[in-house]
Amino acid sequence: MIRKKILLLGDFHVGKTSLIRRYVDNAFSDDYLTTIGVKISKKALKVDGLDFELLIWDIEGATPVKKIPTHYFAGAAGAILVADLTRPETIKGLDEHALRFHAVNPKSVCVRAYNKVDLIPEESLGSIDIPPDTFLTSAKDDINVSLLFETLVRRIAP
Amino acid sequence: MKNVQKILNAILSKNVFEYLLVDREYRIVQFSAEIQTFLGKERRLKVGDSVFDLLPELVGSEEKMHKVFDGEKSSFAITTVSKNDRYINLYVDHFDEKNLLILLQDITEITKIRQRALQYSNQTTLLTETLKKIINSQNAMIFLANTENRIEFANQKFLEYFNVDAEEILKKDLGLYREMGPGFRSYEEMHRAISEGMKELSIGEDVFFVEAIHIDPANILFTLSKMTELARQRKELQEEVAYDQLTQVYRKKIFDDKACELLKSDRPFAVGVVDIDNFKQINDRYGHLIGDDVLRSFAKLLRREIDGKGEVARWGGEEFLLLIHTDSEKEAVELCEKIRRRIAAQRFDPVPGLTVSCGVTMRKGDENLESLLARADKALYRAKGEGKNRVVYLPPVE
Repeated sequence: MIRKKILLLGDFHVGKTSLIRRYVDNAFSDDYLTTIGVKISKKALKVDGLDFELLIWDIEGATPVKKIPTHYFAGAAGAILVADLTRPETIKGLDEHALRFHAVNPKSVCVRAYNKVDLIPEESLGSIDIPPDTFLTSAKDDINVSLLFETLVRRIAP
Repeated sequence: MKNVQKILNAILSKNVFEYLLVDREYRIVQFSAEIQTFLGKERRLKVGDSVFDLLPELVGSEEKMHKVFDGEKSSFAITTVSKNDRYINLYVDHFDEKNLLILLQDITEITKIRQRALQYSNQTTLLTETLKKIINSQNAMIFLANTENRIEFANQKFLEYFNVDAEEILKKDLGLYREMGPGFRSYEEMHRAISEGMKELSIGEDVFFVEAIHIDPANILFTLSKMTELARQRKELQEEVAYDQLTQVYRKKIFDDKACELLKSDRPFAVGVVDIDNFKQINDRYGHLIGDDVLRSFAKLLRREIDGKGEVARWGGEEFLLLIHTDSEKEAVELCEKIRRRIAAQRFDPVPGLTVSCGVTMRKGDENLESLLARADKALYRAKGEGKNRVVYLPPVE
């Protein structure tokens, strides 16, 4: 069993907790309860014949006045950088989250989730600029959530 | 005994309630009884368990723990960890060369209060972001100015139009009100002008529809909706409605409005009716296109002669109206006579010897437009009857 610590990083209210809840418990709630500090969820999975236990850190989102404390980043193998497609400023903020994360974990891997794609009209989807290693996700409609986590696990697999 | 004291001191110094001791294999060697609170009912803790199973929060911190063991680092902390519906701070301290002391501080109550505050703050931030998006999506320039001439908030349209940034406007009085109207010295003065009926203001060549409201005693919300194109179209339309297309003098309706306005006041003025003699024969002999040319040249001459002294309008056909600002019948008659002479002297090729007849009168104190025009027309009729090419004056008393 390979145990790996991964983080979900991003601004507040982008859906980090919902993505974890969908992936770990296959559940979703529309109620918004802001995360404070950190909460760890475990998920066992098999990828390419290897058994993993993921320790998924759901970390309090960054706000205009408070960045995410970097002491949570120590020893993480990878991170999912999450943005809310309905709030373009949260997409712009991802580069800074990536920089701060890589400063602590230079050899780690990141993938990106542009979340809440269920709120985007289908005709607008074509105009979204999607960088490499980025997934359009919806925790609500369970779109690309497993793929997002499994892609990160493949990247961090030994 | 010494070790017990050490744990006690640590507990007291950090207001901690539970502790663990772990060995170099990261196995639990000792723990306080109530630590089970953080594990839930389904898991029973026992000596020999891996600390990482109990506290997965420490996975990834092995290097730091190693340094604490070796005394390279005295301690470290992982704060605000949610665990089994409670919140804890984890402190990893050096205990002795064989053991680490891990302290668990229960911070549930204070963290829940902080969480409520954070939730409120985040929701307020989201609401503010949404309101900003709404305001920035407006076509109008919207800004909030205070009574000290500082702009507290301005939307994107405003910042772009005045080429200022949001920080800059907050810092000082940029005096933008001076650009927004005739001699405004403050936003308050601008608000007053709007309250008293000002609906439009011009900035350079742009025209704006303007609204202002005191949202509280210290702040005024201004909305400036650009209507330059609308204003231009309106002006064109007004001109189209106001002016006779062929001769470019006022239509009769505009003459009536101006004369009625003067009749409501005490201001004296004279009215002249000028008619081109034998115009029908010009049309018959030279055609209507030449007739139109004559009318255009004739109106041009009238405009030039009356310029600054009154107004010219076309009553219909070859008949024109003069509104002359004067209190002297002599002056009014002289002006009409001058016009008559100029017409007679000017060439209107190919039409030879164009002449005009003119009836002129002064306003009476309380008469209406109809009687004033009837008198001027009567004077014209007399001029025609007396042989044309002349000016006849009829005094108001007649």
